[in-house]
Parts: sequence; C-alpha cells; structure tokens
Amino acid sequence: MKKLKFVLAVAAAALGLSYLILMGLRGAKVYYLRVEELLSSPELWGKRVRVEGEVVPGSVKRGKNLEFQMAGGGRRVRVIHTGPVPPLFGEGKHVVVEGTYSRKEKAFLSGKILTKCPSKYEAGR
Amino acid sequence: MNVGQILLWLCLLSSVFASISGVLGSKRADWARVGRFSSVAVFSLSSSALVILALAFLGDDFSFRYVALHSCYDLPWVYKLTAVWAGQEGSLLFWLWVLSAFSLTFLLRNRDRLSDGALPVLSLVQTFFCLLVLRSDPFLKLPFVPEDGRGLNPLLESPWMVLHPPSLYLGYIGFTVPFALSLAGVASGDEAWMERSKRWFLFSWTFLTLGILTGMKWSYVVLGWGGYWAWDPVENASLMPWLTATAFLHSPPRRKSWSFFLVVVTFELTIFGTFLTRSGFVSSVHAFARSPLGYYFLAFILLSGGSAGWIGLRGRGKERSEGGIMFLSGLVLCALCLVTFLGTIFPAVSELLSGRRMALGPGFFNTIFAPLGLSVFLLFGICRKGLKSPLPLGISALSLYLVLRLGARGPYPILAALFGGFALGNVLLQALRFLRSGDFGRFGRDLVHIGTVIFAFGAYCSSLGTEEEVEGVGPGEDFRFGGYDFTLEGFSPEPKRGRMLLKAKLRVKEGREEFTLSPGMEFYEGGQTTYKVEVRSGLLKDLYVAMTEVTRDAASFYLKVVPGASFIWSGGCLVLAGAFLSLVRRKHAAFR
Repeated sequence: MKKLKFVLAVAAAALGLSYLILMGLRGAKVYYLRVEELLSSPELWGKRVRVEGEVVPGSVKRGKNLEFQMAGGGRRVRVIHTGPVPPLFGEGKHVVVEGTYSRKEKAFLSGKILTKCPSKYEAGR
Repeated sequence: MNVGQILLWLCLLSSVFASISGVLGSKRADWARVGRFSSVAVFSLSSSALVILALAFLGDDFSFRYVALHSCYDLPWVYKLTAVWAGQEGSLLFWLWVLSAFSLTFLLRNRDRLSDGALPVLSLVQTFFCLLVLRSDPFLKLPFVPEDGRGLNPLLESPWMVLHPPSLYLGYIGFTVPFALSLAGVASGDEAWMERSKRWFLFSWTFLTLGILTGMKWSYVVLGWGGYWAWDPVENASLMPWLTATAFLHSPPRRKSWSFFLVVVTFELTIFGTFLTRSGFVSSVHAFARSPLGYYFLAFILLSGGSAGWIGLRGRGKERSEGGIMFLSGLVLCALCLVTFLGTIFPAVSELLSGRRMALGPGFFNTIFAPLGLSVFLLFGICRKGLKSPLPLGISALSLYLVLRLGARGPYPILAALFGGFALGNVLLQALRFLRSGDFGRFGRDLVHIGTVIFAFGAYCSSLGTEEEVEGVGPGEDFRFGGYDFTLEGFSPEPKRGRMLLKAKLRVKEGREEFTLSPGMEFYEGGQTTYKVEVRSGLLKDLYVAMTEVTRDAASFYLKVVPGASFIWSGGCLVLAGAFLSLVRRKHAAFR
C-alpha cells in the first residue's frame, strides 16, 4: 500500500513537471540559425528567430536605426535594428540578433543584439 | 622551460604522489602521513606559481603570453592583480591554488580515518587540475617581448572584478572537500561524513551566494548583459550547484543516500558549469574562450561521477525516511535544478536531435520557476508548525488584502501574496523566537529565509517593469518616460588617458522631486565603447538610464524602470548576513 502511494506520488510529480516543461517550451523556444540557414529557410521568415553571424566591416550605418550587413556561411543579410546597442557591438564582431526576417523589406528586423561579452574575455581572437 | 612551468610540473608530480600514497594509506597509516606531506608540497608549489604569475603582472613582464594579452602598463595595479583570473589559463591556476589551500586546511585540521580516506580523492581532483593548468599553460613565453600588453578588456575594469570571480571560485571549489568526505564516508561506512560535509557546504554555499549576488549586481549595471538575471548559460551554471547545495543543507540527517546523491551532484555540477563555459557547447552572452579543454571536464565528470555512483551502490549506510517538509523542499529544489539543466542544454540537444539549433528565451524558465517557487514558499509557511500560529495566516491575509487593493488580478499575484505572506509570517515568527532566546546562529538561519522571501518579492516586482529607447534627443529637448520628465541639458566631455568619457546631463523631474543623472559613454582608443549607466535607486523602484548613442547634436537613451530592485539587493544582503552569522557561530566547528 505504502509502495503504491509512493509510486503514485512520483508519477504525479513527474507528470506535473513534464507538463510545466512542455508549457515552457511551447512559449519560449526560438530557432537559432546561422545567416545562410535563415536565407535558405523561407518557412521561418516572419517567425521570431535568433541569427548568428559576423558584422561585415564597413557596413555599419548609424542613422535613425542601426543598419548593418551580417555575414555567415558565405551569405549576407541586411539587419535593421531598433533598440539598445550593446557595448561590444562593432565591425567584424560576432553577434547574435533576435527578431524576424521581413519578406517585404528583404531585411532582418532585429529588436535585440547579443554580443559576446567578456566574463573570461579572450581579446577578439 | 621556465620557473613557472617547472613549479607546475613539480606540483603535478607531488599530487600524483599524494594520490598514490593516499590510496596506499587506506591500508597503512604511514602512507597517509606521507600523503599529507605531499599535500603541503602541492600547496607550496601552486602558491609559488601563483605568486610568480601575479608578480609578472605587477612587473609588466609581457614576455608571458598570458600577461601580454590581459594587461598593459597603464592598468591600475588592482586590475593587474585581478587580471590573474581574467582569462582561462590564470583562472585555472587560481582554481588549483584555492583547491590545494582547502585540501591542506582540511588535512591539517583532521587526522582521523575519515580524512585519511578523503585524501586520495582530494589529491586526484588536484591532479586533474594540475593537468589542466599544464595543458593551458599560463607561463607560455612569447618568442618576442611586445612593447606593451593588449590591456584588460575595459568591461572587466570594474570593482566587481575583485569580488565576483574569487567568491564564485571559493564557492565552487569548496564543494570538493565534502565530495571527498562523502566518498570516504560511504565507502567505509563512517556516518560522520554528513555532519562534517554540512559545515563545509555552509561555507561554500555562502561564497557561492555572494558570487551569484555580486554577479547579478554587476550584470545589472552593464548594458547588454540583460539585467541582473537573464537565464544565460553561464548564470545557470552557477545557479544549478546552488540549488542542489541548498537542497543538501536541508537534507535530513538520516537520509544518507539522498544526501550522498546531493553532494556528488553538486560537485559534478560545479565541474559541469566549468565545462559549459569553456567548451562552446552552448553560446552565452558572457562568452568564454572556446577551447578543447572543455572536453577534459566532460571526461572528468564521467570518471568521477561514475566512480562515485559505483561507491554509492556498494556503500554501507542505510536510507531512513525522515523530515517530510525538509525533504520535500529538497525535491522541489532538485526539480528546479533539473529544469535549469534541461533549459541550458536544450540548444545543443535540439541541434543533435533535429538538426536545427533552437534557443530558449527566459520565458521557459520563468514559466516553470514561478509555480515551483510558489510551492517552496508554501513549504516555508507550513514548516515548523507554521499553521498553528495566527501570525503567518494573519500576514498572509494582510498581503492578500494589499494586493487586491492595489488592483492585482489573475492567479499569480493572488497566490504569490497568499503564499509569500504566509512564508514571511512563519520565518518572522521563528526569527523572533530565536532572537528572544539569544540563539544567534539559528537566528542567522532565519535571516537567510527572511532574505529569500524579500528577494523573491523583489524579483517578482522587477518582472513588471517597463523599458524604452528614446532616440535623437537634442540639447534642451524634453521627453517623458514612466512618470518621469527628462530634459537634456547638454554634454560634457572628459578626456582621460587612452579614452574619452562623454557624459550627458539629464535633469529629471518626478512629481516634486528633481535630480540630475549623468549617463555617459566611454570611447577607447582601440575602438571599443563602454557605457556608464546611471541608476537612481528608490525604495520602490529604480530608474535606470544609459546613453546608447551620441552624435554631434543628439543622443539616444535607453531607459528602464525596475520596480522592487531595492528588495532584491536588500533581500540578498540579508541572506548573506544570515549565512555569515551561521558561519561565525560554527566557527570552531568549521573546516573539519
């Protein structure tokens, strides 16, 4: 009897936890792509994704919005960014942008830039 | 080979020797004594190596590659010292040194069979770290001597650099001794390991907490690190052992197998965290160098975890059921750890399974931590007969009333108020009891719990904050945000050595209150820019202002209101105060 109760309790806890994890996954998972993957997966255009790439030197334009070209896997995408620009952003830096690819503007509209910051910084090698 | 490298090789030799004599020591006590001697050697050799590295930094000896990459002539001497742990090579050496210091302290203060048994485990872990340090080679010489070093990354020139990494290391490394104790204890059937591990855990837990909190505070004022907590893999790596360590501190004394499991898992998680941050297995905002060293850690986890599991299965010591609520709280904490673990490795695992890399937003963690966190508070409330007294229920009702008056709707605010108030009421009740009886050590424990409730309250409030980017503001222009009125009065440039600090002067009005904030940007000669964030802290909310862009005649600002931030920090301080109080009370018993 005691064993049955124990098994039931464990099962209930496991079920509850898996349910929570599934709920969490549903709301929060974001595709994480490289530039060439983004350009070759039209089914993900318009969806919220993260894209990793290198800021093409000489392409950064700071106007009303920040605009730059991001390269990866031999391809490039234009990024239009609105929002704060983190300290380590710069030409030639490796960055991750979060946002959606717009078919209309043929550009990635980013709302967030993540740079690689230096808890254990190895000077940009 | 230079002196530093020779010292490291000798260090490796003596720790291998200590391991061998430690293993032989389980049969003959003479060998155990030899092993203790070798530990003294390990400590002195690693200390000398560390001193040599520190002196190289202070003396600007750029012939060392590591020094040249992390320092320069102009660096203030404090940061030259902290640069010792600014990169992988140095931080591994620092790790080795702290580990040898802990082992020596432990071995010198204890001369019984149990500590003899812990000796080979400690020495083996030391051997592993010796190998790592040798492999990464902090004493590598450059073929030429550069005129000046590359300098420390400007973001690391922060006072937090003095406190944050060492306290994290003290926390992480401190879990090695109880790991060794538990293996020795379970293998020999000596149940004293548990009480003694708890004292070490309290010490390590305190420093791990200090490390995490200082990290939060640092991250809070750096733009682009995502606020005080962003569920970044590196942050998660420190949270996971913290959760299991907390579970162990709550583990009832008679649950031997459960406790053994927690001690081993905590130790492995500290190594796993190091693996995560160095292997490039997942990507992080706080990027570490990718290096092949990462997989050494993985191999070490498999080896040490495997042998611990083997010892655990063969070990003597019976599991007896005890301590319903304490045990339950441990289970919930472990569930939280499991969730953090899954969420952290999800990007890499999803790539293996589906070929597509996926990332998880903070939403994943928040969705799960909220309900489980609430259940922790329910346990806070009902433990130690909290239901029998009117105070917890009273405070619970009061906070529910307040929350409803403030207009909160929906299940979360209401449940949070109910459970949070209940928990706070009960811990206050316990604290009052111990305060009256003059038992300050136990009072320390309650202080930790009160701090936790306050911290959680602040963390919840902070999720209700707002942020906004205001662009193209010219001098003399006004803008509004979050109930504040801002006027940009002008800019003031301050040229400094090797960089230029440009500050904006913002006049801020909120109701009748007026103050000035001067967020700035610092432009370095190397082309890097850092942000001087300004935070106006109030009791109920923080106003956070950063200047994110500046041209000849206009500037952009990033603004954020963080409600409850002061509760986060004051709660954190209470937790630390309580933990140190408990440590001091157990001063005589510690380190055994």
